[in-house]
Amino acid sequence: MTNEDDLYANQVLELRRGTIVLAVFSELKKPRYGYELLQRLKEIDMAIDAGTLYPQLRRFEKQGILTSYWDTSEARPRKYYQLSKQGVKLYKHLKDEWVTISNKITYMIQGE
Amino acid sequence: MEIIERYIHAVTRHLPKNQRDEVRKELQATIEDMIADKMKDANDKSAAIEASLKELGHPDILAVQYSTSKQYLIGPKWYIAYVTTLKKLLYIVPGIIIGIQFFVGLFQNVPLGETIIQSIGSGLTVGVHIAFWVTLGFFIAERTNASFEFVNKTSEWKLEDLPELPKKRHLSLSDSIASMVLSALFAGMVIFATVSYLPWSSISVPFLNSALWHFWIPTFLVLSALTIVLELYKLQKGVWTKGLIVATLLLNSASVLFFILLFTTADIVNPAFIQAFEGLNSSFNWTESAVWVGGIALSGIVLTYINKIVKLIRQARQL
Repeated sequence: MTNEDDLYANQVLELRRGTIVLAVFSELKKPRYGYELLQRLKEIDMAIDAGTLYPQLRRFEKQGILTSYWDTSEARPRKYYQLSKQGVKLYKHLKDEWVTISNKITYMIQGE
Repeated sequence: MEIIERYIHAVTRHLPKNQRDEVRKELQATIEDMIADKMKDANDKSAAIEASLKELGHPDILAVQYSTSKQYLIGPKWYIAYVTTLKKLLYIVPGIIIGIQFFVGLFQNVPLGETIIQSIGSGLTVGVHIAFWVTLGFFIAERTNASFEFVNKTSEWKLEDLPELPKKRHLSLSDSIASMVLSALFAGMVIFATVSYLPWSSISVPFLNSALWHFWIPTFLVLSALTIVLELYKLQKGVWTKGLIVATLLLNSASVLFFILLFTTADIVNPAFIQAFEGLNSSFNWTESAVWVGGIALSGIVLTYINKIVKLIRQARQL
């Protein structure tokens, strides 16, 4: 990778980094397990590293934004995550912020 | 599927106990899902396993992502304070220790080589201790809720608290101090060399002629004192003034003259010393070598002063 590619990749990563949380929350209104989330994000082309997603889910759970439970009914025990009450409020807040920010950015980009 | 267990073990072994079980279960489920997915396309289980594990990445990296403890000794919050403290202490303390050890060794008649080695050894030991304890202290600070005002830069700060601008120094502080210290040291050495001798040397008479005390040494001491006083005055003023330059020029010229006269007319070395020296080295002709050694020493001194004077004249031109 040339330096230019590195710079490019880094900045794109930074841009995506802020939005990935919003994408993840939007999928967690219903209970989902880790791999399922991974797949859904890949489907809409917002792929994220498993190594990034799983620890992040744990951190959100620790902060009280997500709730979780183990489903042992199937052959494979799976851990399901979902937005908590607090998480839902946070998600709504983030959605509003997103609309505001994207409007502003669109305006600034178009103004040249 | 031992390889999967080995992978999971590699990821979870450094995690705290309570996390380990959960992460293990979750990883197990995910890996199995990934394998199942990959096997939809091709029925190769071992390839699917390898692809899945590779997709998750190196177990150490994954382990770091899972860890909740800080993955560094000292973070940005404390780093500047840490480095500043470390620097200040390391510049001052080992130097003092080395100096003390050195002088104690000299006065206790320990051989010079041994004193030097001991001094440096002490200096290094002290340095290592300082480095370790300071680092440990900040390591702890990083992990507790410690906070001092200068770290909490989000708190209210007043304009008056801003640091003063450094005084414009056209003159280097370290140069001045070095010069003063050297002058004092040299004067001390000269006095020492007229009344005493080095305890470990085989000649037990002073090196310098005590007759020098009649005129030369007092003059030398006066010149040294004047040099130091001038340096202090220079420090206080902060910049070169015309007066300073003139005074320094005069002093330097006087010093050069002094040394030239001293080396060419006076008997510098103690006659008793010459005797003892020739006694020990019978094939040695003192008078011949003295001319050589004296000549070289004098040239060195004169050159140093010429250098100083030239610099001074350059300074004068800039004013």
